[in-house]
Amino acid sequence: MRVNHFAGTGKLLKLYLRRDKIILPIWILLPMLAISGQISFVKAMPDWQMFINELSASPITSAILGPIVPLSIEGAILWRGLVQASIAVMFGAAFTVIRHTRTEEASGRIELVFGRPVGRYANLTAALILTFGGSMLAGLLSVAALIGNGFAITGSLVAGLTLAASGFVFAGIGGLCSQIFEHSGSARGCIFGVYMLTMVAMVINNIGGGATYWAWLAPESWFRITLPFEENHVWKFLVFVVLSALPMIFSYMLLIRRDMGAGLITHKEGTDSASPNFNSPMVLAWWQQKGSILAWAIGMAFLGGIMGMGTPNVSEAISFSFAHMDTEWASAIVKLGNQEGFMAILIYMLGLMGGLSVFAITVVQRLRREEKEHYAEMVLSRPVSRSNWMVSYLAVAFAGSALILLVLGLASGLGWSVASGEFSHFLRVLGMSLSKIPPVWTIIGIAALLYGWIPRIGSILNWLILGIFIFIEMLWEVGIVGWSAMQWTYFAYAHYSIPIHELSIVPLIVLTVIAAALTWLGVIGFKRRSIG
Amino acid sequence: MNVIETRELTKYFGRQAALKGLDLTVKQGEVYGFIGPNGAGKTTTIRILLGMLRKSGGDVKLLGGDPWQDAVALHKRLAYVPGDVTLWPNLTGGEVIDFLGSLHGKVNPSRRKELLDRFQLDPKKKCRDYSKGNRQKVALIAAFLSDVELLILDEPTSGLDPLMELTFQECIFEAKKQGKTVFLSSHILAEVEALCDRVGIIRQGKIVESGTLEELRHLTRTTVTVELVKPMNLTLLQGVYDVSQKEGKWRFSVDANAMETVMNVLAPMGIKFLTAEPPTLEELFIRHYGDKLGGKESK
Repeated sequence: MRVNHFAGTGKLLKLYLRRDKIILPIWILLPMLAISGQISFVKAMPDWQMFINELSASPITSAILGPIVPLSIEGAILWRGLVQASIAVMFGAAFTVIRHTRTEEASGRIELVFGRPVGRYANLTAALILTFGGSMLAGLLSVAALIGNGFAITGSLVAGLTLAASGFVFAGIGGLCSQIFEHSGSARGCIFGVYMLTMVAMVINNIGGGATYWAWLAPESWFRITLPFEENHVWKFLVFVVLSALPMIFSYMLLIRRDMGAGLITHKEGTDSASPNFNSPMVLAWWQQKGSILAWAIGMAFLGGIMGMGTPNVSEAISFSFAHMDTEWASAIVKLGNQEGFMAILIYMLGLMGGLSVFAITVVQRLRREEKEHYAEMVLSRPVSRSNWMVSYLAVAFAGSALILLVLGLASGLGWSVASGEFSHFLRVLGMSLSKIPPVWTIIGIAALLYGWIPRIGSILNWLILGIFIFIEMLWEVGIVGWSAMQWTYFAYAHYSIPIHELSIVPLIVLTVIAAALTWLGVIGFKRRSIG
Repeated sequence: MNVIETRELTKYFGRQAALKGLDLTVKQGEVYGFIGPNGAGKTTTIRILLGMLRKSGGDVKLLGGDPWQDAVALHKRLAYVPGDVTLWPNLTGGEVIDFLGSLHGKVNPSRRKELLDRFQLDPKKKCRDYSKGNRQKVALIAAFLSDVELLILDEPTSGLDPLMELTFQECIFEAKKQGKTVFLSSHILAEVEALCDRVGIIRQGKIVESGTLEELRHLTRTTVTVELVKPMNLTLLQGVYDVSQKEGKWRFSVDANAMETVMNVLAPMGIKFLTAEPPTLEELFIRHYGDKLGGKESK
């Protein structure tokens, strides 16, 4: 009998399309929005020509975001636009695959499907097709945005295909993680880890001038290989497609060999009784979060250490034109110096804007999940007050984020100090990292407030607020808005542009008080609403 | 023809043995009750039968095919209800029923409506708003809606109310009338007693007893209540257990093979009143599991 492992793929694909009416369009549209944003952004600048000349003259931006290639308006758009767009596509693709494979398996829903005449590969295949289509569409929409703004068709196409390819490869990695881990949360965590590694490769490539082989390991830098609007290496897109097929092939090989519901990593038996200290919601909250806190701390130690050691490679030379740029941003960087600025920006990105913001929001969203999965009921039906339960989780979030920032500061400070032989850097870097604690706590406070009052849309609002603040930050960097706009965000009060010894402590104390007040309000909301 | 047949079936999870040589035979057209305590291996067996788990050893045949190799072809001929039904939270019950049905082919609209009515399910609700029982109903309706030869049901009624339990039993009787085979794993012994032609009792990964209910009963004791004219002490009789006396009536249980001897002893004593109750499945079950060591006295 011929075995049709793919039977039912089409029907599952339809189901997934039906189920993904919100999440899929978001990550498909985001890249186009990011690119369009960059287009209007660059065009809105009074003199973009001068801007790109000067930015490419700055060793510090080259080190972080890489040199602008080609040195034209297109290059200026892709330089940042594609990095942002690829974040959306890479995570969107990987999470979509995980959502339809491992999540379905862990929830048991897949049993209903596989009890029907559905092939063993149908589920993974449908998820991959969906993600492939999504990545392609995200790429093509970005192409449309570029062409619509009058840029060359070939270059736009190469840029869009390169973007789509970053989705392909992360779809494959998502599929692979789904085979390896028994829980979808671990699979998603693994994606974060893989993304961090690609970021390391990206920065190493950028420090090395932007055209090293490291770029192959960083899908967000693949446009430095295909070089849209310059050499337009379309054939390299085909190499990416072949590359992304590898994790997919592995996924299929693992899938056919394993039992439904099982992963590669099996679980050992635990203890038969709880330790006497395991006796409060606080311990429970810690127990549930410690894995992710530990993973974040290790990740930050790794990234911070590597970046710290790379810092002495950043040239301290400041070009004449850059020194005379008249944005607030440029003068701040000149004042800091390149190495100090590089470190400050990295700590800022990892410790606040990019990294810890995500940690803070996801860790508070854990509350929502506990509630939705009815775990909260089991605890709250015992003599445990609602405020006790909620504050326990938040306390772990507060302490955990502080711990991760401490680790980040220690690792980056040590890395830089050891590599340069200059230990005076250590305390300054540690200070930079610790100064991010109050703003991160404010994020937790906002998340707690939203969870307490409007849990259903709270999580989306959380990400939206973060997105808006990041957008304000970008506008400020190119001089479209002034510092007064930045001051509406929690970013401003531990900002990288302020030298650490000039950072004033009062706003940080105020932020801490605000975080406490928001948390308190959130708890009040939670006590007043129904659960479930 | 045997619809399900396993020989010496084993399944290991790491070093832990879930099935230790399971022999199971389900004949065409019968309703087979698969009973056993939690963790005995019922769900593992079912998942192997469905090709979701790979067997570690032994033979397994389902509808004449290999459940792992021929999963797709075999699943066209069966419908399955898992024990723990989770559904897609943002789809309605009706959508789930149609989607699952579409995997089998066409959904018969009149049959769909009939089942929705019988199980009193509101198909417009989102699955996240269904209670456990209602989720179970969605899975049951989806299963009964498919025109298949074999129904594999893993504790399908654990969340249903007594009325719905009756509806479920009706549906099983209908399926049986149409010549379908039903493999029913259950905890609800009254349900098994009401529905099943044959029963298999699984314990620690092995079938410890199987046969028709009559056969199983034959293996164990009958409870007898008797009122005698002449006084006598029943406690001394061979094959008689749990003797008690209340308001002049003796009550005891008696081994099947001792029945003749006991009756011969009782008859001359003048029987004024006598009832003999066959053991309920529950009693059978408890006799198999009640002791810590394993049903050594059952044979």
